[in-house]
Amino acid sequence: MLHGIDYFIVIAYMAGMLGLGYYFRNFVNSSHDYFLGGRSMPFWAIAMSIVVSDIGALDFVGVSGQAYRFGISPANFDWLGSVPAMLLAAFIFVPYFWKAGIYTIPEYLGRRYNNKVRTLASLTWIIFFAFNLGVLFWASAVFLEAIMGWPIWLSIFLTAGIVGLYTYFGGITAVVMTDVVQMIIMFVGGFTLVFLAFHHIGGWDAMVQKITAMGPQYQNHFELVLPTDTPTPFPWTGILFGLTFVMANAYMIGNQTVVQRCLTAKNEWHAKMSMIMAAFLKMFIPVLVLFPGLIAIVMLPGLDDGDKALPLMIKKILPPGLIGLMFSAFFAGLMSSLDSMLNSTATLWTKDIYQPYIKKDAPDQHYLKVGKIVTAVILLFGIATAPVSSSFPGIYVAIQTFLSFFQGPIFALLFLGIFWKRATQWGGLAGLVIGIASSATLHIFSDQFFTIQDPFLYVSWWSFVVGVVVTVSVSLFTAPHDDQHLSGLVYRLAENLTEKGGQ
Amino acid sequence: MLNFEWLSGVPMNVANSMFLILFVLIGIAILFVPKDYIYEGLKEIKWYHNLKIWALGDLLFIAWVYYIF
Repeated sequence: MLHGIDYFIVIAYMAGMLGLGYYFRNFVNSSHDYFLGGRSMPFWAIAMSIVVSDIGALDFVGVSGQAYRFGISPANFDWLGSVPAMLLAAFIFVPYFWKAGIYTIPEYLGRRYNNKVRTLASLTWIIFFAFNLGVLFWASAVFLEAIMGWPIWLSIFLTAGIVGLYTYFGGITAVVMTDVVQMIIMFVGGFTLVFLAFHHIGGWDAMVQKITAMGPQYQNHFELVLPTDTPTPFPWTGILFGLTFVMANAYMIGNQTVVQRCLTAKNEWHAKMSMIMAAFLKMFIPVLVLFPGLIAIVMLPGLDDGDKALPLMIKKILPPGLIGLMFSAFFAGLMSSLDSMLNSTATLWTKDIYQPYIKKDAPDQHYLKVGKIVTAVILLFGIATAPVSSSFPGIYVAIQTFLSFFQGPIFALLFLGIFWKRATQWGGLAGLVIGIASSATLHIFSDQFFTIQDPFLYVSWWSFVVGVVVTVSVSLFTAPHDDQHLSGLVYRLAENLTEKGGQ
Repeated sequence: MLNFEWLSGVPMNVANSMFLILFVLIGIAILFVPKDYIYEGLKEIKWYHNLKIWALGDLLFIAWVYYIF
């Protein structure tokens, strides 16, 4: 499928990323530089990094496959599932996190509630990232083997080597700055494919006309808001309650890989603006990952598996050279996800587990060294566990499900933590534990509780409700924190205390 | 109850409007953000540093998309 020019472009891209990332090792002199980039990043770099890290190589294939089956409704995840949550993060949560000078989201939860909440949240993320790394390596390598003919272990070692080297040496600065280039490549590659594909089929209007004429099963393909009895997993009630109110907020406000980038901002304004710009860029993601699936309905009707749509479209439409650019976009998606997970896991382990529990008052250079060692260890763990995916095909879904158990309860804690000063440490811990248990119960017995096939949106909403109810109930029966302890951690509390003090 | 059956009778045009109302409410909330809060961290203030403009721009864009689809 690839020609000489395509190989040249892919290899030049990889070499460029390695060189660029490795260059940023010069900016790392402390753990503060390694984990927070010395708090020197401009908003545009952070915004681009947030957006590209959110899109994995497999999303190109998976989302276009969903679009092939369900139409445009999966775009809700990038539109309604991002913009409101990112604006809430920009104006409320991120400025508080940034001003608190924290390194991790669990660190905020620890200060707001207690260290048990911090440790539980941190270990959850570490386990998720560590196992997800291996799954991501394997799934991407299998995909590359299928369409490029590359041996699986070559893909794994190549991507692991490049990403590992620049993340190990350059920390978050290298991660963010390589992400900037990766986002540009992803957008150029993706938009080129969509532009040429539209040209091929006669434009948007022609596509809509052809698809809607294909039969009644396509009548909802251009509806974002679907009825409650839709056969897809995206009824409007689930989109509004589960996605918009809970999952999107949990992801944009509670996900370490997203928020850690905002914490690297050079000042509070840049931290806020990074989220606002990222929200703008996110709105173009469906054009890149979803439109090819729609176009494929016209160009390649009757595919037995929607996930084949994108690779076949690339083969059919793109000329030599542009195929290389598109594959560079795939690698950009893969590498940006991997480097985020590596750096965030190193930060979580060093700051939330190692520093409080293993070695408390060590010199800063020691924590820098620990961060680098953890980066290398997690990378090796990811490589070693990659083949597990071939023995357990359901592991990807299992890991995503494991994380989804925490989304609702974690957002309940963050939401009450910042907006309700009466929330107490024991309320938070109980809300988290019982909320997770409720998620697991709803998931295990989903066929008894829900009528749709994959009710993950409803599960996240109800586990959030349980988290809120339990946290509030237990908090009302336990001793409140004093205002001084909560200053800077609860919305407007620091300002109110200053005003009172001045009177 | 857990499946939101009680909302199954809501007509689709009303459901669509609920999403648009959500964007309007967020927009109103943004307009009420205090002026000094949106410039915090800046030494020199220019008109394009006004975060409200960009946030409302995001909202207009997404509202337009949901209005069309």
